[in-house]
Amino acid sequence: MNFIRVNMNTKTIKVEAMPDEYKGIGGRGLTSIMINKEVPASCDSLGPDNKLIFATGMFCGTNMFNSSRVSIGAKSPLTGGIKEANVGGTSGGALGKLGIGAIIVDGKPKAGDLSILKLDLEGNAELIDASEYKGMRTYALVEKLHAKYGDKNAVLCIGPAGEYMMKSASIQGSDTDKRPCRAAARGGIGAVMGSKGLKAVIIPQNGKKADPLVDKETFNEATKAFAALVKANPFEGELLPAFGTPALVAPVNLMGAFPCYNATKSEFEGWQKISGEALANTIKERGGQTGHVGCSQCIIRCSNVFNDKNGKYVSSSIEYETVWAMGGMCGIDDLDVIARMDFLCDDIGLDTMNTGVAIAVAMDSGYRKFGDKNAPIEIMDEIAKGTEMGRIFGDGPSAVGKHFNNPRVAAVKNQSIAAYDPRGMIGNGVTFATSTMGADHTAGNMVAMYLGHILDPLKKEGQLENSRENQIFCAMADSMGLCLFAMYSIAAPDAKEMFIRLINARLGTSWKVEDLRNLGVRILKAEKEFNKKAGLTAKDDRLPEFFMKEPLPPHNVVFPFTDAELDGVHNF
Amino acid sequence: MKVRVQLFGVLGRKLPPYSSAEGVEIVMPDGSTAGDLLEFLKIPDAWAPAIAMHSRLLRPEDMLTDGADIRIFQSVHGG
Ligand code: SF4
Repeated sequence: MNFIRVNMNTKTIKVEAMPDEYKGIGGRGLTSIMINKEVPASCDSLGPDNKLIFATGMFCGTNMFNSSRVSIGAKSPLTGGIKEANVGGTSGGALGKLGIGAIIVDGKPKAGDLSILKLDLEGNAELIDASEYKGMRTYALVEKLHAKYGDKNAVLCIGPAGEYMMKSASIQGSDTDKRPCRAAARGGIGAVMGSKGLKAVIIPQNGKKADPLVDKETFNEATKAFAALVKANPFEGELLPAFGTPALVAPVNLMGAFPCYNATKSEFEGWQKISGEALANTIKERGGQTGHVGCSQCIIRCSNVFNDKNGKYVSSSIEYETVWAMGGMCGIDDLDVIARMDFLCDDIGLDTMNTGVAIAVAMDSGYRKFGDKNAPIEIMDEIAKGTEMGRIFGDGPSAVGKHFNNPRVAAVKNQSIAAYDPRGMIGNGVTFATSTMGADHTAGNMVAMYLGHILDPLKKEGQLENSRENQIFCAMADSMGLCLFAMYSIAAPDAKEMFIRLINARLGTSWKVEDLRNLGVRILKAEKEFNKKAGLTAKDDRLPEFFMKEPLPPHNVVFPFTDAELDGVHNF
Repeated sequence: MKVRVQLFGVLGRKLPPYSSAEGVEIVMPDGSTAGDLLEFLKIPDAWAPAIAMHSRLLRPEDMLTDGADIRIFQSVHGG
């Protein structure tokens, strides 16, 4: 595996062998451990000393299924702490096949300078002037890049929001249909890419330089056995291909935990119009697609393609969190508006969650009415143009709350919560508060434990411990380059042993089951250490006050944990 | 007792002639539990069912309330 180091001051590129200390660590493990070591924690996140690191997961480039996730890390301009956001699509697998462990971008070019980083089949890279693409939205950009450099390339890129260095800016990745609709959405990671003057990374998908598997036979046999587990699971084998992640709309509403109208209610009266079932029916009627393969080598197929009434493409893929942020949070029960907003976020290069919650805070402040279907589209136009209001919205819900002097902002470390109210699923509240990443639904989500009767969503027993273990699990899982949905099968009997066989056959190591947890702990410790050096304190591991003050109907409860209890979550 | 049941996920497809628009009204002996309802509907554990009534998840041993709206869906992970 190689590292590609790119300096944007001098426009120089160095390819080097991955140092021994980083061997056997991929994805989030690699980005977080490197950032903690190499980035001065007090640096300006949009300045020359921050580093933007694209790291392939451990299985990227192999024939393992669902193995095309790349982690992107940096100091976050949104949270002020460490950030890792990962994205599927085609780029993780493509980088792995080129034998690339990480691309590390540092420095900062002179203002207005814009480049593309183009990789070749030898795993080398060059910087190309990108002034002609300045201000371009992602769909048009990717079409142009494919026309010029070949449409077999995977692309990671930013839209106008990233160029403006807005704090909700995402990095978009191309999917299997060559559309930039997969997002490393969170933490303003796209703003860091914008600060580096990097518009896109172009990666050939037909590389042949992946590190060879140490024990191919065992690897292939364990891959097959693990795939059989995934297929046999009703969630991954049936539910996700049929409905995608919006299958969550029904259960979370029916448990009274779907934050809507800026988290003043928890059961959205229009939920049946925007549920996974309604979405699948609409998609079918209009000739779209459920069970879509969004990412390379995927066998689960959670993605979908949403068309308008005339059968014309609108967006892919409509996810649960977007349905919530653009729908329930804004009081909008219309899938066409939600899908349009999903497309606009991808095209402008924005996190749908941070943007939807920012709009909900504005509605809660009287800027527009809840349920106004035109308001979100108008706001997106402001963001794309970079107007004064647009820049406030593009910086996310905390910036909007500050502007309107409204403290009801559902965010932690300035990053919006996801689609689970911390009062209706209190363990998710613990994760939102204490995650090193700011509020995050992929950092330790407990919803399956509630639905599976392992925990009661409203009782304190077991929540702190299980949030901790889930956070450790997710840190480890984010390092593998596998989609989280594939990783969930590890809970099946004997699956952990099978997974260890895969790792050892891949690397020639002698990992044991406990090493999975050890890796997760090591990553979280590095992230916490960085956050501490960056000036974050226990006070940043708190939910906004209204979750402790305003009882949420229908259960009429508040978030019950004390500060001291939250402070104990990461006592590994 | 009578309860109205709505099915979500692929459960409705597995149990024809269930109509998702209307749901279905079911008569059960008084004192029936969530587990009894699953058994009556022939929904096995392997389909990972979860039952909600009055905004709460029911355990198999929890009693149903006469006249309640019951929703049955499948267990999901978030991500
Ligand atoms: S299940 Fe969904 S997110 Fe995961 S690899 Fe497949 S399409 Fe991508």
